[in-house]
Amino acid sequence: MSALEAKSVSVRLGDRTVVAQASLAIRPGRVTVLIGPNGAGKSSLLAALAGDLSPSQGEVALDGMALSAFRPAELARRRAVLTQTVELAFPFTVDEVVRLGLPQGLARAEADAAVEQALAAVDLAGAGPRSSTAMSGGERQRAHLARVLAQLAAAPDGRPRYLLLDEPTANLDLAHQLATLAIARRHADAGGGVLAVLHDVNLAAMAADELVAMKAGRIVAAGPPAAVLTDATIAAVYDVAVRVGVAPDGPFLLPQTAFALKR
Amino acid sequence: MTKAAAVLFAALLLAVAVLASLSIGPVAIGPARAFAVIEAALRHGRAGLPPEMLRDAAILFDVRGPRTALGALVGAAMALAGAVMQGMFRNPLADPSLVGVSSGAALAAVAWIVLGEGVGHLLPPALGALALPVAAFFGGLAATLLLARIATRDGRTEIAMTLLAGVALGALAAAGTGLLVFMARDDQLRTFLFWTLGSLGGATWLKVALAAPFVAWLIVQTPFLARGLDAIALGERAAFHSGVDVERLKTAALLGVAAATAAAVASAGVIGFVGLAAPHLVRLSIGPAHRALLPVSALIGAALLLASDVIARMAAAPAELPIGVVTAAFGAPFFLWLLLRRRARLFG
Repeated sequence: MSALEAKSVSVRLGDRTVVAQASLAIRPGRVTVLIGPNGAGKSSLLAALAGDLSPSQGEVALDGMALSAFRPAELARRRAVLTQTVELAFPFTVDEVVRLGLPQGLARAEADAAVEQALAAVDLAGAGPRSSTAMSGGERQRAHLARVLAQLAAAPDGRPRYLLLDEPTANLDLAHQLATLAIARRHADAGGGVLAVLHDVNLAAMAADELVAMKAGRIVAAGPPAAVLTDATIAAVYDVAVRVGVAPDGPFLLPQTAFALKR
Repeated sequence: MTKAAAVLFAALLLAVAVLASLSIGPVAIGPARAFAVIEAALRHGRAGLPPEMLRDAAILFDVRGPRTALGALVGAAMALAGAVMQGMFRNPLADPSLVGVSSGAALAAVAWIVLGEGVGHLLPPALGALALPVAAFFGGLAATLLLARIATRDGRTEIAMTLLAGVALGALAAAGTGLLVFMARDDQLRTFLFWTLGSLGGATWLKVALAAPFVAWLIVQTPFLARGLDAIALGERAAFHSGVDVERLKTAALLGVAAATAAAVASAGVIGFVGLAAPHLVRLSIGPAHRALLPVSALIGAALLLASDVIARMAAAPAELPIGVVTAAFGAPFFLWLLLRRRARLFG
């Protein structure tokens, strides 16, 4: 069964273990969302799944093959990654930024179409000639999302492709937060797999097929949102007491009813 | 300006600079005359030239020809190396001197000038003249290899580490250079000083042939480098995510730049400023995408250096100014003016 899979992965940064024995499978057709407090190891786990960090123990496998066996260009056709902060060193235009994601040797017409579609998907149609350094933080974030989408759109070879998003909704207004999560959902519906790190627990519950909660480098709960978002799990993960409500669409919590627990 | 227009414009500029470099000098040879002599030489060979052309042919083929070729080669190498370094370090202030090439070359050069005397006269005269550039070349290359060795851990070259270690190695080499300068006699000092300010004087076809392969090596790598450097503007992680073999890119860039810069420094001394400024001039007009930036920078760098050399030859004729003085004196104020005028576009 195809998946992008972490098999009891541990990651060390310096002499600190930031991810410990984490097992997680991102499967085609599903949106997996990682939640947890700052420093829980979410981004490090995502980096290990992206191939940036090699696990000190365990293995990351893409469709059954070790990630380390792929060349960067092959990997780029199978998975794309949106990281938290991308600071451009030079004032590239938005069009040039999106093209950076395209694989080499793509026909001109195909490349143009992929760029145009990706920009339209993130609500930046027509923004191609603008300088990316003169944009707001949110617009720039969306331009980079378009780059990541173009990278995967340009490589349709029938095999499932994986989209890894590290806090894709940071810096975005509510409408664009929802639009970004809708893009993630469309990718899953089209047969791809999605892993997103989100801080907003309500957005996470709404977007996720599978919700994974991390704390101190370990996965402490995983499953459908309704199973993970419980009073007890929230208290254990965030050290916050809050009553989780249940709406017809799924669980939710109101931050104004929460109070911090003594550690 | 569109990119095709920029390439055309830069090529035209270089053509004008080449013509100027061939024509202007103590003996003026107009472009039409130069073409006539070259055409006659191509048709009949040097030996078959009419007597009235012999003097101009000697000037064109033996003096200005190699000088122009070497100038174009060195200018292109420095500008291209500067553009690649700026892209790789993601820093608009980077230039080849940052990776220790220039300081390593300078140290080796002064070591040869001061300490090499005892060995120098043992070499045949033809080799003796080449000993200084050859020493400088290996000095520059050795400094870069040492730097790459220091900055690489577990097969990964750390960019920030390269930058900082490059500064440290440069300071160390400068200390060694200073010590040797302190030990040097007056005549040795003069040779070294002239070399550090750069000059295309004494260019020969042999020097051109020695430098050309190293510069060509960097030039043929530009298509591979261009895509990678564009991606690395996103940061190393994002470049890897988009499919670039970042380690291979850094190795290719570092070695290519080191070889081309070492060859340039070895054949013309240390000429500042072109490597820093030429890529910026180009970025301001056509943007930072490296597919166009790299070739246009090379063309503009070649044209700039040839123009500077013409000025260096003419300003104090019959004496020659060091070319480094010209590039800095004319280039730096112009560059500052550009920066102030286009501040928003560069950093905004």
